[in-house]
Amino acid sequence: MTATLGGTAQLVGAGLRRDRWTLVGWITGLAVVTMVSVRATLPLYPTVAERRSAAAAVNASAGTVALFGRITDLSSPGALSLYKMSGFGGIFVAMLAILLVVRHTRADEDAGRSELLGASGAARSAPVAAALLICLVAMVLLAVVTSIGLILAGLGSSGAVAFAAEWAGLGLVFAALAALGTQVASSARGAIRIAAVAVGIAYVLRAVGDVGPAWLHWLTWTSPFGWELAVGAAQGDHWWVLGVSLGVAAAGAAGALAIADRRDLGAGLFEASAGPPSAGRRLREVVGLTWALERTSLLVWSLAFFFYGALLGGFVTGAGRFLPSSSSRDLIYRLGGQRVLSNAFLAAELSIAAVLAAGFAISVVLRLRAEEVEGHVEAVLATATSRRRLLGSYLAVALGGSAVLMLLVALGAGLAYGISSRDLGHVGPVVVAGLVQIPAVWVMAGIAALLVGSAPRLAVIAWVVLALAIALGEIGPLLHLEHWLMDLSPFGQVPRLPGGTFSWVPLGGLVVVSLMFLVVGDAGYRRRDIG
Amino acid sequence: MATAAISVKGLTKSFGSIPALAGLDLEVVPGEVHGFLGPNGAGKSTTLRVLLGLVRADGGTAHVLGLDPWEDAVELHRRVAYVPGDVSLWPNLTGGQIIDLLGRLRGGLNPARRAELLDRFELDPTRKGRAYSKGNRQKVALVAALSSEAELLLLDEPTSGLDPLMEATFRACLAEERAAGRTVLLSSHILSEVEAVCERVTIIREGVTVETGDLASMRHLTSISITAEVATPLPDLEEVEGVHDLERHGGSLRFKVDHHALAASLRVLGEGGVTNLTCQPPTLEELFLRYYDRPSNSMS
Repeated sequence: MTATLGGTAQLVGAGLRRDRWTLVGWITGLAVVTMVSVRATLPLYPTVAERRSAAAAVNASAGTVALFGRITDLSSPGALSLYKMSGFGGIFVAMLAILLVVRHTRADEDAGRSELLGASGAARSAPVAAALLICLVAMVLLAVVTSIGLILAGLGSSGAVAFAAEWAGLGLVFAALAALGTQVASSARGAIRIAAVAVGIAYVLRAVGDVGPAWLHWLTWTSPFGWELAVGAAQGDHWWVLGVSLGVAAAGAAGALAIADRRDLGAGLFEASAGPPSAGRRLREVVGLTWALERTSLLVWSLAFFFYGALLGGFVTGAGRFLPSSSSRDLIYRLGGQRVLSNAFLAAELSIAAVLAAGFAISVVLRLRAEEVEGHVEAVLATATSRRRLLGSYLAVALGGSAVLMLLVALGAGLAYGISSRDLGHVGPVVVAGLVQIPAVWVMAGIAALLVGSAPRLAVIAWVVLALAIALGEIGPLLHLEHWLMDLSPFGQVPRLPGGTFSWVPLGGLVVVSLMFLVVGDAGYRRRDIG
Repeated sequence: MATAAISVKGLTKSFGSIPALAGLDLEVVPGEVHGFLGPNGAGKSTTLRVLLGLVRADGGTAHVLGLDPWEDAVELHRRVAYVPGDVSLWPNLTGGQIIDLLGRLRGGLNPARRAELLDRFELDPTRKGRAYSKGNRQKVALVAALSSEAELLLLDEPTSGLDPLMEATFRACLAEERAAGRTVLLSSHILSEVEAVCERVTIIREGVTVETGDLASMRHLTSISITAEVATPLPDLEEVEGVHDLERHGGSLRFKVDHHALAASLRVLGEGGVTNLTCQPPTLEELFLRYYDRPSNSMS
């Protein structure tokens, strides 16, 4: 084994050094959000009776079970406080693992750095082994920091460590899946896409298994998220389940290493096929180019959003039927919602969808920066294309695309809600509720444009701003933060629909703010050096 | 003389605290192929990027085809084609798509010339950008630029990665461009290439122009290498002012002589009964080294 993995140790050292600040950011971010959320939730339910009724309410709502999973120990204080962070927070842990692995394998290979390494005596599979080890180190660090934070927040030490361990186990499974993805895809972006789709499928399998009829319950056990939640941190701590995650991770890692050892550098299972010898009619203006580069991504997002909406919409009637008790209303209310449960559920979920749509918009705007780093912007701007046109084409895809995503998620939710409740009159209000989120999404796109235009080296800060907005929205109400502070998040400005009162004022304000960001971003982009 | 195709005076540009251009001058006449020479990091690429309006100069003036490259970028780029030093292609588009796209974004390209160039450069236009080797990526950019019918071609080390056959094809294409009346600024450090295709050159170093002019007159600045076989030892030769680096190997002599002393040294050789004589003009390489070997402060 040593002969085939030569150079791994050096690669791990160099990789950890390269990623030290990224890791510090992710790990502290995840640990602090979990810690704060647990600290804020623990005192909400001081007695066993209150906990039982709240947990029963959670389990009775198909919607919350689908999104966050089921609570097995109704009397546990820890279970309620960790409820949102386990599965949902796990998505972020999985993304961290995926990005780490792809960054140190396929991205390096695309950039030609792996070739340099391969020629220098490092083994063919060394980069994959190194990326997995880097991920292992990151997950162990994440687990240590998170469990310390949770113990400080007042959670019992066994539950704290079990929670951290289930996160780490989930991360390692997706690290191994991402490593397999890097071996079969033909580019870094393709590998990330494969792994992200795997995360989505795993989440849906777990949701369907948890909510669906009894004969579908086995589906939960096909999903890494199912294994994660089955550990049951602070509600039994079933340590042996971790073995499932670790075993699958080890098998996946072994598979990826075996492929890496046999595969040609730069090759993938899905080889780049030949294409048209000349450009079609649509590849004419720069908008056509941007569309050609971004359309696959928008298509995948669109499908995901529509089905996500349909899934949510299908749960709404369940939420209404199963939640008659006052305690469950109370829980939803405390989670930041409205009196009418189905409306509260839809409003909360559309708000989450808006955050995800903002993620799409930011990723499109930041791609313009990536295109610049790769030298493609130079080639385009050396032609008779103005900077405003180029920036405008990306903004059109970001703003238009995110608007389409919100329309699709709301349409999916409205139709599923309408069909399942036999009242298509629900479609209209739900679609409006989705559309009112668009200005808030555009503010986030505007911030990304501002950064790309005026401070391109700091463009990644757009993600930090989005994370802050999520943190304000998710934890702000629990911490009883000042209103003005929570109002800083554009998502907090949106009228709470359906059910709330509609007002043009905040929407107009958000549009004006996003326009201001776009104007300043455009001015910066036209004034600065390219490259 | 008509308006200069490119006129740059006292151009300065710093990236942070690192100066890239420190008062660069460059004059390119319409219809000429102008060599733009300098060692790595001398500021060649930065100059081209200023000329394309991708980067804004800190000081000095730059005019391209009579236009301001920063203010009139779009108008200017309809008349200019560019081959970057480091060609990076979109991984998902084919070479043919990229050639067409860049041509259309510029305002059109000549389809007959495109087909002809694809053939001559032996480039497969159906392959995806990520599948091309460095040399083939370079060919994609060259075909896109050469089939554009632009008035001015800005080429940044365009033959890097090309094999010698393709280099020859490139030179032939360049000769055709010149015959068609187009102006070319060819940035390079491959001296034989510049020597083969350029009438005039500008040599820069550390962001400053150190020499500019036509190759013939620049040759006068340096010495000629002479190898001769003579019957007698010719001790007088060392006395001739302008003769240096004299080496003797039995009956054969090798020395360098400045232009003004050529007649005097030949007279001495003739009197000494020269039996064989080769006379080599200075290569661009020697010109080049003459400028680069010296520290920058003695340049002015």
